[in-house]
Amino acid sequence: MTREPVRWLESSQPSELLALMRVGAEELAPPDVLARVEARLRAPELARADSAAQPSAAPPGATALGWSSGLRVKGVGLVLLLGAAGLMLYPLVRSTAPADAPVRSSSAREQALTTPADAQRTLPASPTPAPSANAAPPPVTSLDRAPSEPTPGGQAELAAEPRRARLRSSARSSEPRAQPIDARLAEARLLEQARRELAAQPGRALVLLREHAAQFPESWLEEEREAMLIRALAQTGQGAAASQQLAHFRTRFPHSVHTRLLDHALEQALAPR
Amino acid sequence: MPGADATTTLAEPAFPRLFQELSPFVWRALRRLGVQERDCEDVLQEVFLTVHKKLPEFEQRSSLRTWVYGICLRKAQDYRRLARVTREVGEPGRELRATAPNQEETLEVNRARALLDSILDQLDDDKRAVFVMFEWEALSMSEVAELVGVPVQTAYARLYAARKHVQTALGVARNGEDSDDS
Repeated sequence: MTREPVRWLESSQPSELLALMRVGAEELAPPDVLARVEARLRAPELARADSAAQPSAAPPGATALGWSSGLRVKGVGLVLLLGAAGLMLYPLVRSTAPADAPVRSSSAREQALTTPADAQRTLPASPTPAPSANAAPPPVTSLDRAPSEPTPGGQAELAAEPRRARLRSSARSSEPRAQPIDARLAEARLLEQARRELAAQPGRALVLLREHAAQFPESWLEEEREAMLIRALAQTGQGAAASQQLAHFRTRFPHSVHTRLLDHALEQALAPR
Repeated sequence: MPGADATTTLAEPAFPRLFQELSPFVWRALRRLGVQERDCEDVLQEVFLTVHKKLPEFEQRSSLRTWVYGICLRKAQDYRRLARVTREVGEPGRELRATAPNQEETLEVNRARALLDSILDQLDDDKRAVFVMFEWEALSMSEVAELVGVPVQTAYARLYAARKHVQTALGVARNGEDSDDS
């Protein structure tokens, strides 16, 4: 088996080459861009949530408008969507920004990463919600707690409410965590190592997963780790522990994409041979 | 259609979190794969539109991150193909326009980034994908091979060829700068 080469970023390379690689690694997405994209991606979900709550009041074509292509939404729909986007922008910026990135674009780095075109595309709503006479300052710790004061996009605000209620009910207990990319990569690498071991050496995968849990108790990949742990337990013949873990997983991540697959995997592992 | 509703409901609540967790990586990967900064927002959106659409079909044969990178690769390749037609990829200095005039550090970073982009632009899509996914996105070589759909040995060969090219091109660029200075 060929030995995995050492990545340039982790090896002793000439300083110029290393500097070049670091420049490539450190190019982060401008938080305002991520916030805009997420706002646009969320808009149809708002429409769907609204539709579920009030079928007759759903904006016709809103779902198709948002999801049919990557094209920018224009016209009246845009005004409605931007209202909702503005509501979400501030907490989104908080949740997607690296730890050292300010919310407002004041650092040299952000200026470098924000093009004039970006600036033109910036949402009309302020990233920091405008203070309101009768509203408390917006909480910034969760996507699901967007400020609720009236905004120019009042109709979108109404549409957003059922969505927020749904999200609140399904929210994870963990708060969004801003981490440097390198730290996130370290977490991902260890988990990838465990995943590679899972098929051939589930016992080894278990060890790595426990190591991961000890090293990164608040991991952004916790859901993946727990899903993998259940598989590893099942594959090492610890059916009861796997079932128990799955029950816990269900509570912790009620809407996980993994649950259905884990049910199936556990069924197979526990089936008499 | 009850079946479709069930899968949609299953996937959707996971999606916003997925976006928050992976979008910084996807952005970086797209940039290194040749998507210009000014277009990256649109391509990023396309990637996540596809992720959202296909999420119910994700079967955990690879990690979620690797699966998203697969989508990312295809979108970046489509972008480059289209951009080649309109002759927009690799135009020098394009990324420098956002530079604040009095910030030497920013200027230096932008210069380095433009140099990196121009070096990577000289790689073909196949080598570039392997190089980016291994060196920056920290996938294992077997994952990279699976991602680009080639045997592992081919992926290794592409990685080494890409590395050689980057080293050579960097040397040429630096020599050029030195001779410009003298």
